[in-house]
Amino acid sequence: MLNFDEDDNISFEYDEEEEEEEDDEEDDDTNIEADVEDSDDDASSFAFESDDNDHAENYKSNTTSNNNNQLDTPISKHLRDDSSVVGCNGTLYLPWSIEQFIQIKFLDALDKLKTFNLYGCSDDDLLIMLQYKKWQQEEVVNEFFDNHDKFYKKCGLLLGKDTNNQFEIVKNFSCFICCEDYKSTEVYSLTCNHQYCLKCYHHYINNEINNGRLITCIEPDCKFVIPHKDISHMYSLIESKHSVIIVEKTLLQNPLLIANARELINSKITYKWCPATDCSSFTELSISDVSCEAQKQSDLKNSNDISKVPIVGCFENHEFCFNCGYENHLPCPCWIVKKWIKKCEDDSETANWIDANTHTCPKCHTSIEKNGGCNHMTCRKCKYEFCWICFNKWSEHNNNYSCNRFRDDQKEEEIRRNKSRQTLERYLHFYKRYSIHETSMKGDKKTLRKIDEVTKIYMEDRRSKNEINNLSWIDIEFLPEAMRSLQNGRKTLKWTYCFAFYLASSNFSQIFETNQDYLNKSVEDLSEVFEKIMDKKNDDKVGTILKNKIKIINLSELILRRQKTLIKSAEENLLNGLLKFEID
Amino acid sequence: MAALPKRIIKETERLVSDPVPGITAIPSEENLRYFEVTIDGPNSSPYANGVFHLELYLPDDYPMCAPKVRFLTKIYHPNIDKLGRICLDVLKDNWSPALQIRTILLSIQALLGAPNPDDPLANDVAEDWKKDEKKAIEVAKEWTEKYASKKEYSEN
Repeated sequence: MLNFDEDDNISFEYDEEEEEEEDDEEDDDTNIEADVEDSDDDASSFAFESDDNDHAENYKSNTTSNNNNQLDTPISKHLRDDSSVVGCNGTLYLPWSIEQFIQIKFLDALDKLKTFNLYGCSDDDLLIMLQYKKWQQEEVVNEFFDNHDKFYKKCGLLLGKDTNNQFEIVKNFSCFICCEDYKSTEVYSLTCNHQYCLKCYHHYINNEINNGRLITCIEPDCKFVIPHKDISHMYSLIESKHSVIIVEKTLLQNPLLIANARELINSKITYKWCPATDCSSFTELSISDVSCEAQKQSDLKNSNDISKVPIVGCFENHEFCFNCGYENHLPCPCWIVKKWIKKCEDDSETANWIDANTHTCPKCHTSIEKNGGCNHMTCRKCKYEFCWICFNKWSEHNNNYSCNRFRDDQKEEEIRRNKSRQTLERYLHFYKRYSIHETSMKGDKKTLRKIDEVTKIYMEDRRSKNEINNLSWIDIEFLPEAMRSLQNGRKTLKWTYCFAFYLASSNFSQIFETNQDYLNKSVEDLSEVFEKIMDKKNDDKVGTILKNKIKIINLSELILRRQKTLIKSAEENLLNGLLKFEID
Repeated sequence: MAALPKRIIKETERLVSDPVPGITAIPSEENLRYFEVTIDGPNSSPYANGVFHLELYLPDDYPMCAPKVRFLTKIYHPNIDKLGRICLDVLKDNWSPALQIRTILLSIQALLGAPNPDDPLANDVAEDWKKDEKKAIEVAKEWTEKYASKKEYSEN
């Protein structure tokens, strides 16, 4: 639903525009984007200037008037008002998508810079200057007037002459980089006329792009910079090699701008990427004082106050912890999460297993697991023969089994082994539940995706048949909400097992467990309802959804409430010391 | 293993047919991306009369990435560390696909002729170099004689 960026500003080089647009529209379930785009495409040819303007206008007009009355979420999400969102623990944050970031930090700066009318600068030049000055348009203006000639040189731009960057098809070309001899191939060259084949240029740019710098001609001492527009065009050409239509990349999809944005985001501690798989959005923490924030983060390291855990959301509505970068792990404090993850990853429990289930050979100390009935053991490694019960040499038994008599000194050994076994069992108990919920989350996700598809197909089918009693979005508006609460409920549940593993037992830990049981019950109930809807034998899936509407709504609210109660009570009892963690 | 790119074949051919004076580069029989290299120390440097052995490897994405080069012979030089790693801009940030094995080896030879203690890799050597350049050059000569003389190598 949210892939609106893909069709944002698609422009075509050839005349097939009309056909392709229609295709796009059909493919898309929310066709407002396509509506908006229609007007764009007419104006935009490959020219990058118009592209960019269009987008800026598009973006502005949307802020002022909400002209799309139906389902305007995707577009309105694409806009920004600068007011932060408040997370569940009162954390102020701003969810971002990469496209938004490029639009606001890069392209808006370009628009502003254009109003200065810097003499002799094309948009290409301005973008290069901006990237060189790390997108500070004031600095570009200052540098332009103070150090004009030097600045041009530093940016790899040609002063006073028109650039002559060329994509051409050349016959009988041998590329100096790959040493291939082509009968006819596409080559690229900058004003310097150093020609290389497109394939090599593409490889080269791919390699250079991630260090965030401007990219120069391949020739070692040649300082001409490749304009962003040409990079877009090159990628478009390479990616649409096998099709007739070349889908031109817009500046929002420009590989260099994307790489540059990524680099900027990585370099600032106020931004963090969403940890969810397949999610490429990130979140900005709204803070006034960075040093204060650093202090707060170090405080969090060993704090049990889970009301301070900075839970934020991303552009795609995934919740995560801004401090440790994991998903929303409430009710666990960050340091417990770190310990748990480390424990799950390291081998400490393997050692416990070995200790609990094996004996070592009395001679060579190899670990031996007994898999047969006979107690006359022969070590495979050193061939030592011994008795599994008393661990003495087998030959010493001499028909009288001295090992049956009780000897006090073995008790200690036995106690230690028992303890190992218990620790292991305890860990396995919690780990099993933790990982089961993790897997279930994936299973739920699959079911939910299927339900989403089914409703969409149903609605399209009905619409094409012109049936009156079609489903409207309002009828199933509750579904996404319920799905989210199922996912989040399971996530919380998953982390309660980590919480419980480290929890010292007391009356209050029992209360925690009861809350856990309640949440568990409602989560499973809702999961079951969804599963039933998608049951293979169920022919009327949409009907079942509607029939169960009230049940689903109720259950999802119940989950939300129980989740809140659990976290709230854990928070309070941790603060007043009634719940304690026990770390060995 | 994937077929050897044409670029590598051409470069190898040229290294054999038209070798650079004072430099040899022979591809290994088992792996044509691995070269055994020797570089003669430049005449006017403390490394004169020395023959230095290096290994050179062309990674999978060569020529988009720089070759990996390392000294095998011990050498006393501020930009080359104990493990033989080399601090040279064209092997790192300033690599360009238009550079070649031969140009890189020439750059390394030039580095022997012009040590740069202000951008050191072996900090201790660089410090000695800055403190007492004369003495440092003496040590470099000594090492060259000890580890990089032709006689020494043939004995090994």
